Amino acid sequence: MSLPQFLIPAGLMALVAVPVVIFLHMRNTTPVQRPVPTLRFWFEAAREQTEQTRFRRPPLTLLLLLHLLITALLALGLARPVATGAFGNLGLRTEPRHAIILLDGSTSMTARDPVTGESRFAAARAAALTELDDLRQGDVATVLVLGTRTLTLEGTDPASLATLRDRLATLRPPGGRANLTDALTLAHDLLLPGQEDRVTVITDGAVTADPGVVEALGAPVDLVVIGTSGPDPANVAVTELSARNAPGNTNQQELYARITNFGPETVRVPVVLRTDTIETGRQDATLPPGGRDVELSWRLPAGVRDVEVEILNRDILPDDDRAALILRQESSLALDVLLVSDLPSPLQRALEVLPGARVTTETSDRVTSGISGDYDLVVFERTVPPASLPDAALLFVQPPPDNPFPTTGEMIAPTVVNVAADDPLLRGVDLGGVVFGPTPAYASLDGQSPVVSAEAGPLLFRATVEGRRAVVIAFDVAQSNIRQRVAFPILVANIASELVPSPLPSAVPLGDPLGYRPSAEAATVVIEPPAGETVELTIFGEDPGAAGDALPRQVTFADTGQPGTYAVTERSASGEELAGGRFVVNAGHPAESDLRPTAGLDGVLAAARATSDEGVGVGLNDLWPALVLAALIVLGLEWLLTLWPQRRAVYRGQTAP
Amino acid sequence: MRRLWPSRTSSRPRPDPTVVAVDGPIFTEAYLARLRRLSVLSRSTLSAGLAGEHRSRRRGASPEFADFKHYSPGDDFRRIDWQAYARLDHLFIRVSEVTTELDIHILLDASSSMDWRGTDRTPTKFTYARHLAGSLGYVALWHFDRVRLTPFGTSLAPRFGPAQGRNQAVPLLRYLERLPPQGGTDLPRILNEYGHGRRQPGILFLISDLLTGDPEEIVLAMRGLRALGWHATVLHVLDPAELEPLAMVGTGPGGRPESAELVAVEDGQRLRLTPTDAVLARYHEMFDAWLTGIETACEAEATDYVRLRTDLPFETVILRMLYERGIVG
Repeated sequence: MSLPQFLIPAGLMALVAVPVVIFLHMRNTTPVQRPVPTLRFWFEAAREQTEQTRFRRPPLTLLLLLHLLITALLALGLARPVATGAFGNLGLRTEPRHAIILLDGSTSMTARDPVTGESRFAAARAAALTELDDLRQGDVATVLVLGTRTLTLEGTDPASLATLRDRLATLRPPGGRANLTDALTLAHDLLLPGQEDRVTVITDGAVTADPGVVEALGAPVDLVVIGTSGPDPANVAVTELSARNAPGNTNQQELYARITNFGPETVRVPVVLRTDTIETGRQDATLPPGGRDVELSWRLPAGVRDVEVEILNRDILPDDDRAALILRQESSLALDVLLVSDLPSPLQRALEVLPGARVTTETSDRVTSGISGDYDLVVFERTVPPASLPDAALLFVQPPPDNPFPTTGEMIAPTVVNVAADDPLLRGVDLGGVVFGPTPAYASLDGQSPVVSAEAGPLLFRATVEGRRAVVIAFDVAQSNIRQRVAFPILVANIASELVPSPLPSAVPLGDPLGYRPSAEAATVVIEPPAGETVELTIFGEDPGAAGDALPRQVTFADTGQPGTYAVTERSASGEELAGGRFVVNAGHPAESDLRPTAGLDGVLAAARATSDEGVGVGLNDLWPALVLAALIVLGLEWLLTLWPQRRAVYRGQTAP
Repeated sequence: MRRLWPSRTSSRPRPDPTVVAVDGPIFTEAYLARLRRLSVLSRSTLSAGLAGEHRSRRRGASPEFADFKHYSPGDDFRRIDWQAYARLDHLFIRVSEVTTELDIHILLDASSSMDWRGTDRTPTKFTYARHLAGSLGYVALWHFDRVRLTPFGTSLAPRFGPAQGRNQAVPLLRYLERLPPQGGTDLPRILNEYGHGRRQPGILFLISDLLTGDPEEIVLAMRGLRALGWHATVLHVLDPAELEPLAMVGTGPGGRPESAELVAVEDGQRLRLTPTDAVLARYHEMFDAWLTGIETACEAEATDYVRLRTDLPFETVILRMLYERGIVG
């Protein structure tokens, strides 16, 4: 608790009125006149009274004390005392307030109190409304609802503040993961000059903040922690669910589930596997406490479309007790890849890990007569393509000389001499230290654009083969050390991303944006979340069929905060439905399922301070209204003690002549 | 000016006749009816002139037989009872009782000290005195007595009367209604002047607060009146605040004494004081001594003295008091 300070110390000079009041009370003032019928008896009765002197000793009367108190209160009020803390609660703010409320709307805020059943977000919303109730005329409020997307609500006047309250009262949490650091950065940009900016973070504490961003914020931060008053909440979640082809059997997949216990005690929970909504497996998992996890695996039967894993356990966040995957899209929104290779290399694994990819491997002798089937991408690895090329995007890996690309010789140990560093194919690809084996020197033809070149020829280039877009990897992956580097799967993903529409992933991590390349004919993509309004996205990017360096047609959907299944529909410009698919957002996430508050968050946020140029009065409350009010109360008391009895006194008669 | 009798057309509710109204008419019809049953009494043979309604000690020629007396030379032969002479052989004179009228003189103090009241719940002493004078005058006129009402301040003001007969009642009340205060007063001089200014003494009612002149001076004036044959009755009007001086001066918060500047309404004299207990005690002492002096002087001069407080109900208390004192009957 800090003692009051004075913004206008010169106002204390008004305390000279105190001796003036005493001086006035020392005067023998003219008393009230009372008409009487005669003075003949009074003259004799009051013969010894000599109140004719001009001054007297200071009378210690209640009236004098009240007058001194009133004078002192007003003099102190003139000095404009301000204070914070308990004293400050008595006064009014010196500056209009800009309340920036960071309301955590992440998935963890959907956890419900085990006693009241109220969600943390509802409690946080009530706390935010309480903060808004403290605002007065001239104050401004900005509410940032954190989640997968940050919702910004503003109130700058009483009408908009009322609207803000109404919206906040019915607001649903956006879900996903809250990035408090980004929100604080945004809050820093929202600070208003000349106003008392104050940031209030209302969260369950399961967030982190960058101390550097906090210190640079420029406004004090109040932390309101919701729903963590009791012991550590026991929550068990499916934090990871993935599937991959079973080793040695491409028709079967293996499912891996990571079950994490964020509670304080070891628990044993049954875990159920459902494939295409039918329970096909059940395991009992013993989960150690404190955020440690257990991995479970199942071998899935062939042809499974949907798979779901559910923990049969009741906790305060039921959304993350289940997770699902869509293994097979019903429509064309999948990536069907044909790998033509006589000796599958690391390329096969790189293709299989493409999101939503279904990789089929064939030997070259099985496709000499042509390729049957509908594929999005056909990869020829050191094989000769059939005479009739499929209607698909093509990826050639060290095609045989002169078929289909003419060569001028061979590079024994090529080294990189030219790199188009900004090329999308090389995004995230580090070729430093990469060595290449013997590589044909392909001739440079019209329509080809090298991306990585050696002295005698390209190592990676784009080309067009019979009107089909193609990318050529000139070197042998098996003889290059790139296969052992992370650069290789990234390179393959970049190539696939450029050549073919990316498929819908089987699942999207909570809060991560969904990005995929729709089909060339699609003009809009309609996404229907599990709850809420349908979103229609317009596709921007290169024109269909155009070649060159235009941006790829990309759809990004960031509002993946709600767990559940999202339906995706591609539509043409005429509104015709072209294709559809689904993806799943699972609530289980190490960041959101851990409902324990982050240790030290309050200490980090306490480092936030108002900058010196925000004004002297920031954070201070004016006490002069309270002093004036007190003076008025004392004045009223003085009136009651002095004037009221006189009003009730006996009427003294008529006016003296 | 306040009305002293009810208006025939007034629709206002009649005030309580038992008190002197602070505002509004104070003479209600019921009150006047009660007055009509009263008459002014006289303890002496002051009446003369025309025959009236009052029984008198005067004896004379009248159908009302009173007594016999022996004939003595000089008696009227016509009043000898010859039948008694025939039976008793002595000459007797028939003596008859004579009914007389009274001369009622009302001296009304109209000084500024009378035009004062301690609270707004009581009438001023002047209003009270006019009410009293009107009541006495009404009673007298109703019984065909001769009434003179003379207000006075520092001098005698134009009087009402002499008036006689019931038809003079309303003019009397109207006169009182229009009567203004007169300023200061000099009571002993006024009494002396009035007593010597009349050839025929009568019944004198002095209605005053007696605040001018010492008791000794008033005694001398009363003595002079008595010597001239007047029968005087002093009706002393007091405001209750005069008996409770603290109420007159006022108090501060919590009832504690508060300094005040007292202003005499008659002469404008001022006195600044704090009504301490000692001051109030001395006031009481002096006021009581003054009242006692007045009362003793009146008693010594065979003058009827009645003390009237303006907060006492007029009809039930004052008229009863006047009745018990033999002033009205």
